[in-house]
Amino acid sequence: MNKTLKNPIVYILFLLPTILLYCLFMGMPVIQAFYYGFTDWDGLNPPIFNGIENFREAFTDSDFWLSVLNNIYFILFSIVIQLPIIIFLSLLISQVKRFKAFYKTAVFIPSILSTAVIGILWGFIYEPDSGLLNQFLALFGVEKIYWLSDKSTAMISILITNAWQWTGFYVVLILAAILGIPKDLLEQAEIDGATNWNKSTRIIIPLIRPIIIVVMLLSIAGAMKALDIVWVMTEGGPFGTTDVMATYMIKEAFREYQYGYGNAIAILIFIFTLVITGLFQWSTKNNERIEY
Amino acid sequence: MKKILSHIILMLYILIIIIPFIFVLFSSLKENNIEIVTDPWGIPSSLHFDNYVMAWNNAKIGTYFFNSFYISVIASVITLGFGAATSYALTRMKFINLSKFFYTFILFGLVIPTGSLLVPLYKLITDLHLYNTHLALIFPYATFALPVSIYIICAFMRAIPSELEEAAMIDGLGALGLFTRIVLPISIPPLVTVFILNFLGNWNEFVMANFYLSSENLRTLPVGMVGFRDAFNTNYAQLSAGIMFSVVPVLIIYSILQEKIIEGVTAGSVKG
Amino acid sequence: MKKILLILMMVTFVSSIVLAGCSSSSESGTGETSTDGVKDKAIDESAKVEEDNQETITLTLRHTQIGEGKQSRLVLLEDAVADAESKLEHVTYELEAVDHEVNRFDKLPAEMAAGNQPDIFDLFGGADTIRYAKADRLLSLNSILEELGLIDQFIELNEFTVDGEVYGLPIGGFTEGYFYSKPIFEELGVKPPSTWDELEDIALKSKESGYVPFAMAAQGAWVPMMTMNTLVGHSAGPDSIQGLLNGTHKWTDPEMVSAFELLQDFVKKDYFKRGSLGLDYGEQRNQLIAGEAVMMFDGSWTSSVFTDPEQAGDMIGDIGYFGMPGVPNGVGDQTAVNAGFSNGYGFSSTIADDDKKLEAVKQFIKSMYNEEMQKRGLIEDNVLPSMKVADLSGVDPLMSEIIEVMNSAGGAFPAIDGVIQAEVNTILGEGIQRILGDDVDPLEMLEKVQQVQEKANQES
Repeated sequence: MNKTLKNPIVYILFLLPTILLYCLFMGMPVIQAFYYGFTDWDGLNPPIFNGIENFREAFTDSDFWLSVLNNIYFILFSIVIQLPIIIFLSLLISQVKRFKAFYKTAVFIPSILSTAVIGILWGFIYEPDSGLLNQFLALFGVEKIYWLSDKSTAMISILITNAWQWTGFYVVLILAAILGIPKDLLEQAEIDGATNWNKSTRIIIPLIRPIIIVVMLLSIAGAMKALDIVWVMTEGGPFGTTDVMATYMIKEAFREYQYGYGNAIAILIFIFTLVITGLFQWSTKNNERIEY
Repeated sequence: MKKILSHIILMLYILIIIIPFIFVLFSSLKENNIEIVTDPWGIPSSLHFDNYVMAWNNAKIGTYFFNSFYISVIASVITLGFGAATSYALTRMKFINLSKFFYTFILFGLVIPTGSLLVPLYKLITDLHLYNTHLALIFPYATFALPVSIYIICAFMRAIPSELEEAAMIDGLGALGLFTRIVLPISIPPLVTVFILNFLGNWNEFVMANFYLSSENLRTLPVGMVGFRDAFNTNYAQLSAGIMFSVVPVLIIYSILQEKIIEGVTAGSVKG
Repeated sequence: MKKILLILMMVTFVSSIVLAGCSSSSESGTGETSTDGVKDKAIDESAKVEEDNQETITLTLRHTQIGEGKQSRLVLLEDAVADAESKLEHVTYELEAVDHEVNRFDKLPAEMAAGNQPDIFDLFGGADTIRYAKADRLLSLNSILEELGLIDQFIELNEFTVDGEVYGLPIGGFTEGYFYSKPIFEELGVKPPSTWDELEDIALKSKESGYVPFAMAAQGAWVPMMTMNTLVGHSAGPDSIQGLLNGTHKWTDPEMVSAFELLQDFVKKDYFKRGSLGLDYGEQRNQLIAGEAVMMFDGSWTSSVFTDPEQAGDMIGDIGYFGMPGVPNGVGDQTAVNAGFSNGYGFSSTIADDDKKLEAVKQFIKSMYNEEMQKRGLIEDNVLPSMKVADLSGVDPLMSEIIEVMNSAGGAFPAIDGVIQAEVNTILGEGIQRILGDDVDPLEMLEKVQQVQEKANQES
């Protein structure tokens, strides 16, 4: 009987295609990035090995650090501002009886749309002269704001768009967790006379802590990957103030013919992502298990 | 009382989500920029459907739509097929240590930020002579989706009771037969989930499609839309019509399959 | 459901076999149609056509004529291509349109690096051409030009010539200067300025009357760089731009810095449309057409927009042109203009060994670069000819104004972004945008540019 499931031919046949694709299209680029990252290469002429020169350059390149900072803004915005809103909305939806399904369906809509199209749509909303937002603010006498072209508002404009796209997605995740809490636990609390607010903070939030951590982790991973939205909305402008690491990498490699440097940045994105997610997981690991 | 307050807050949020679409819908039916600027909230004075005709012709939306559709389907199907087969081998077949190794190896792909591979992958795509072919997207899309798909399918397949297989083996089924006749039919729910998750991811992908394709008639919908914006960015009415073309089909499909789609998209994330 | 899944599995495994390279022949059975579908669509278009008919070849042709503003140029290109196709049997040119900036700064550089550039493509002379030529990506056209007797027909091929080899052909010439709204000039009671003070005076009056003095759309750094280009040419002299490469001039020279300070001065005085950093090039001319802005510094190619009733609306015939007046303490002839022949088509070096494609390229050049097309370009699209055209009659009044400014110019200097290296161009463009965003001190910014310039000079 065990023999059937020890058929090596089937095993190989079932694994090989995956492993081949995986090695070719994920493994190779990673290896190549590590190779070219240590060279001076303009993409046209043969690469010349230059040791850690690219990384030295990156660490003194203020534009690169600006792009790192923008990735960090992405993380901070999603955790400090977006997350409380997400939890709040999820709690609200979980507590209403009517329209529950409607709310859930509606908030999710932006998450299924293409980031590129959302970028275009919001570019339209941020348009200083005819855009929706300025027209709306003008009703309250607010003066024209140049959302995407002023360096003081460009980044926050992108962050808001990003939040608009993904808030509903996370709401649905957390909502599922809240609705998954066994009824008797909540009923018990009600008998004990807990108010809605108490019920939320004292009982529900601790119970859904694992999923909140997942949402935070996803936000961090998403923030480190941010690329489409920036490229479509500002291409990193005005003057590079909204560049994230990935857009900076593309510009260095494709526009300035610094392929060696571009690959070095690819490696840095890789390392930073590992370090940040690793640190986060390590710091939340200790008391993760909550039984109910 | 409290319930009403909750509803008000939620309705406000829904409004924030829906208003941009309404704005675009109205703008797409207006005569020109002047009507949009002077009366942004107003219902169009007369319905200018010609914006849709012009957008369709100028933006080649039909071509882009078709490209996006079949690239997304093929890449998702490859991921599904490979992912299911590999998951079966890893969870049901008795090569335990080897499987552990491969499982870890494949899951390592989850931590690779795929955006960072854009530049190195460009070189690979060129070396393989895939540049400016749809395979330049199909292979990376299929590959990048494998780790999470395998994770989801494995989680499901691991939970299948082995009694089912044992009974089938007595009937004389081999490993291949077990897979196609027993395990696959049972695993349809996670497979549908994985398919939807990957399809939407591929459908929406922009950056690779932007850099790995060149010919106009090969472009995907997101790339085509951005190109359309670059060309017609001063004609808001037409641009709005273009946005409607790319948004409405997705909304229609979503309204039919919403439960499955929500399940699919969120499933991809619950892996913490 | 079961059956569908089975078919899906078959499909994927068949393609996995193809992937592993075991066999490329199509498999029989349920999977066949689908796999062939994959292959068919994915194979390069040209290869597909070749299968159908061995004689037919397809050349990819990358152009940048998209959007309303470039409609007439697209018509010319399509006519030339149709002519070429009618002359050669079994040749098709597959046009692909890409936004100008995307092509020049993202697509083409990436493709050149990878060696997968299209057969024919929109190319800029100067730094771009030099870089690609040195990497052997461009087809030398000397023998073709000789054969077609075209070698002496071009007014100038300098920008496309590297070490005596011609690598590209300019589609037309250009010059840059101020377009202005005649009705508003009349309303303000002013005439085209001949001195810097007069220009400042007009700007001030415009501002006071509630207009934007200078239209600007600076999302692409090259747009404000046009103004900067002529400011530099006037302030530091016509030779200064080339001098940056061999070190005779520096970005930090006082005359250079004062050019940037003039731009900064405009910004400080609020002479540009605010929020210009978020506006795409096309919106610059709209500010002029809409009567929002009074003047606009732009290239001669833009004039076609102002002669097209569809785009110019009521402003047709109401746009004039003057050269940028001399700047205070300027070096050299202050009537010099930025002019050249820098945009045209280049050809991939990969077709050098392909006789059929060479033939097709030759025919394309024949159909595209001839007196008739040049004349049509001038009349229909307001592009200055790049070839010697005997008969210049029939140009519209705006075009005559432009030609007159050129004719009376006491010299010319090149486009900065055609001369300096890509990395310098990037940091300079960003610096100019920073000035527009009132975010930087010019000298401080130029010191950084100079550093990059010196490093780039050393490397080449």
